[in-house]
Parts: sequence; structure tokens; C-alpha cells
Amino acid sequence: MANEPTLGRNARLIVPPLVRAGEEFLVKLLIQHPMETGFRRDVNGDVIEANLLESLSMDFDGQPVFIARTMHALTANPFLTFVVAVKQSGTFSARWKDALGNAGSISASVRVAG
Amino acid sequence: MNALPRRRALQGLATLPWWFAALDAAAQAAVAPLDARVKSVPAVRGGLSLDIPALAETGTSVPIVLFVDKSALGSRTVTRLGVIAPENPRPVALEIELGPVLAQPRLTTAIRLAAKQRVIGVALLSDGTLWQHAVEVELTGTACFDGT
Amino acid sequence: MRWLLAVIVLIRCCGLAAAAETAQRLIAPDALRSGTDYVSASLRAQQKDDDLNPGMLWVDQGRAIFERDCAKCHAAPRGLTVKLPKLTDNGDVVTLERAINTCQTTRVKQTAYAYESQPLLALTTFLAFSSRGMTHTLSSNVTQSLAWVRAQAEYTRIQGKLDFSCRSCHDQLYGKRIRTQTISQGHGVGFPAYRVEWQTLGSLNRRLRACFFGMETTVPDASDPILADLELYLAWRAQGLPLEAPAVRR
Repeated sequence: MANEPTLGRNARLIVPPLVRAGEEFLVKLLIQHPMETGFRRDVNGDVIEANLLESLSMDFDGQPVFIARTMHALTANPFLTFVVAVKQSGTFSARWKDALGNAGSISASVRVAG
Repeated sequence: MNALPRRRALQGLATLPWWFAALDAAAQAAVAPLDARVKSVPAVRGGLSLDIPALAETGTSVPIVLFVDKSALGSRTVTRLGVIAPENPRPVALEIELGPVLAQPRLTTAIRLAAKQRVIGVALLSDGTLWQHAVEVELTGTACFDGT
Repeated sequence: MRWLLAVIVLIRCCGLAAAAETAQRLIAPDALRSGTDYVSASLRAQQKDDDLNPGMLWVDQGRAIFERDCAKCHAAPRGLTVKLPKLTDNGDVVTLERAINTCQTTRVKQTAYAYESQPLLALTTFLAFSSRGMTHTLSSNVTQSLAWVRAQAEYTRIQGKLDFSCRSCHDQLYGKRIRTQTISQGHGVGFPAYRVEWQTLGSLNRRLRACFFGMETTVPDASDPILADLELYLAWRAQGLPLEAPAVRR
């Protein structure tokens, strides 16, 4: 399978567009990543090179939402969902880096009504 | 399959940093891999719940919800949530540090399990309390092999 | 006279036998069910939530490709896939992948996409997703084509170490279990689909090859025309079922 660079996004960060101050809502993160463990073998019997995410974190206008310390047991193309609440409008940003040095990031803004 | 116990032993040695022995007990507890910390602490469930299917359709993607009932916290906060899968090649499966933007100490995701096992959800509280909730998970195998 | 009666009965029986292999779908239209009905609740939940369905990552990428390469000719992506697979004048089957590559080489003026390449998967997933809820509409005389007849022969052929045919499981034993899995009707209306086993998204072509592997028989190459014939046959079989790509399958 060829590995051409992908056009467009390789992640989804879904938040509601409009919330009330302090109201709990879901943040859903989905990242396209093979999360190759290094334990799998291809059809020829050769080990498929490991490539796991090594860092993954999310913040809201600089305030931490979460920082993943260990995450190698996440599935390929992992998703994570959290329950958050904010007091003012702002932007959620997630960023990650894998073992091969590929970095990714995605942002989504939420507006607080009133 | 023979490689697995040897690999695990080497990883056990590899996971502690070389300067580890120089730390005092409290610092050691903070740095040590999650399962080492968990092993020395009596298993108290507290307000923690690990929602994971008892019979998972496949080990390649097992959905989990890990959450703490806030009413059990009092004035404490949950600083870390984690999952230990003792039968996985790397037993500390997942560990995340929780930030102030979170309204609930709750994580929904899916993990990989290498074999049927007793999966342990872990919560670390701001006062150092460790809560654990273990669930036996059975995996079903694939019916037809896929060589593509 | 008795011998004449015997001959007449024999001819009638042969006629009936021939009628059994005509273009009659074995599953009644109101009994058609997609694979979504046969997966676990958690996979179904992941499929239904577009925010967490991993296949949507390929949809996003396919949309970017469509807007760059296809939108200048195709006003809207919806409905483009429902008439595929279709037959050319000389009886070849045109699958979505082949139609895209024809455009790719003659109109977009780029090299054709390779089977299971990421851009091709992204584009086919985006187009299939854009026709979500619609159903295949094949021309009524498709069952008279050689491609359909070849596919029906392959579909009903008992083959491999396990003496399976596609029909024995997917027309006759759906809903029952094979080891720990429930057998589906084998329609493929959720494809391209995210298959947990693959840890990625893949095409119906790949899924059919995996079936041959599972049946422990010779696996056709991705470019083997029998796979395109089978895609035509499956689309004919699945008419009436809404398309639901990208599905999440085990």
C-alpha cells in the first residue's frame, strides 16, 4: 500500500459551536494514526516498524485539558472523549508527535453565549 | 510466544530510570511505572469505575470509559487516570494527566488488549490516594483469518 | 406411453432446475439487512457517531481531493456512486475505483491511483459517504450480462478447504454463528469501511479478497476481473438497502 502524503486533515476535533458559561459539554478527538506497535508482522513475516504516538495533549487557550503520559495501548486511529466546561469563548488545541517525528495538531473554537 | 516473558522482563528493567534508587520513597512512588505503584497499594475502589465489556468482540479495539464519581472526592481532585493490562507486552497501557479545563474526571476511548486478562483502571488523587477497579475481560477470536 | 410420461416429467424437472438459477435474489427484499445489524453494539455505536467513526477521517481527506480535482466537472458528489458498478458496452464492469481512475488519467491528467492507496480510499469513501441513504440502482438487464453470470457462478461455487461457497453462508446461514462471529448477508453497502481487524479503512475489493482467504481457497489478485464482477453481483443483490459508508466492521 503506497504511502502518499494525505491531502486535508488527518484528525477531527469536535466541540459544540455555542455553549453556556460553565455548562458541561463533550470534546471529541479522533486522530488518524496507525499506532504500529512493532509487534506485528507483514505477509512476508517481516516485522512492521513500530510507530506509536509519543506525545499527545490538549489545551484550551493555554490551560491544560489533558496530557497523555503513556498511550501506546490506544487503538490505531484513536479517539478520546472528555467532559469539559469553560467560562469564556476560546479555542481547544490538540497536538501530538509520533516515534518517527511526525507532528500533528488540530484546533476547534467554542463560543460562550452571553 | 516465547519472546514475550523475556521481553517483559527486559522492559521491567528498562522502565525505571537509572537514578531511581537515589530518590526517597515518596519521589520513587511518583516516578515508578504505574503498575509498580499500584502493586504496593491495597486495592481500594473508592469512586472509580472502569466500564469495559466483560466479553470483548476483538482485542484490537476494546471500548472503555474510565470515570470517578465526583461526590466521592470531597475537596480532592483526580490528577491522573490510567489503565493497566498485565497481559499486554507493555502492562502500563494508558496514563493521562488531567487538567483544570475538565469538568468531569472521565475518559472515553478504546484500547488494545493482547490477551484475555484482568484489566485494572486506576485513579490517582491530589492527596496521593490511589483507587483501583479491576474487571475481567474475555476476548473472542476472529472466525475467519484475513491475509490481506 | 409410460416412457413418454417419464420424458415429459424429466423435461419439466430440468426446466425447473434451470429456473432455480435465474435472476432471483434468494433473500426477500424486506428481509435484506446490512452488516450493521450483525456487528456488536459498540461497533454500531461507533459507526453511528460521525465524530468518532474513524472512516470519517478518510471522508475529510476525500472531500479535499474532490474539491481540488473533481468539483470543476461534478457539481455535487451526492448520487455519483449509486449507478456503480455498471457495465461498459463490451461487457466489462466499471467499479467506482475504475471510474475514478478513468477520470484521473483522461481528465485530471494525473497517473492512476494504485489499489488501496490512501488517496483512492479517501476519494471513494467520500463519494460513498456522499450517497449515504441512497440505494444502488442497476439497469434491469444486468442479470443478462456475462459479468453477472460469471459472478453468480463464482458466488455459488463450492470451493476451498472448507467446502464453502459465498451462498452457503451469506444467503443461507446469515444470522447464525461461525465460531464466535455472526454471519452477515454479505452485501457490502457499508464499504469502503473501517475494519478493526485491518486497523484501517479498506475497500470492498480488499474485503472480498479477505473472504477468499477466510474460505481457505485461492485469493484473486486485486486486479482480477472476477472481483469487479462480484461487486456488480453484490450491488444487484443489495438493491433496496441504503448505502451507509463508511461503516465500522470487526
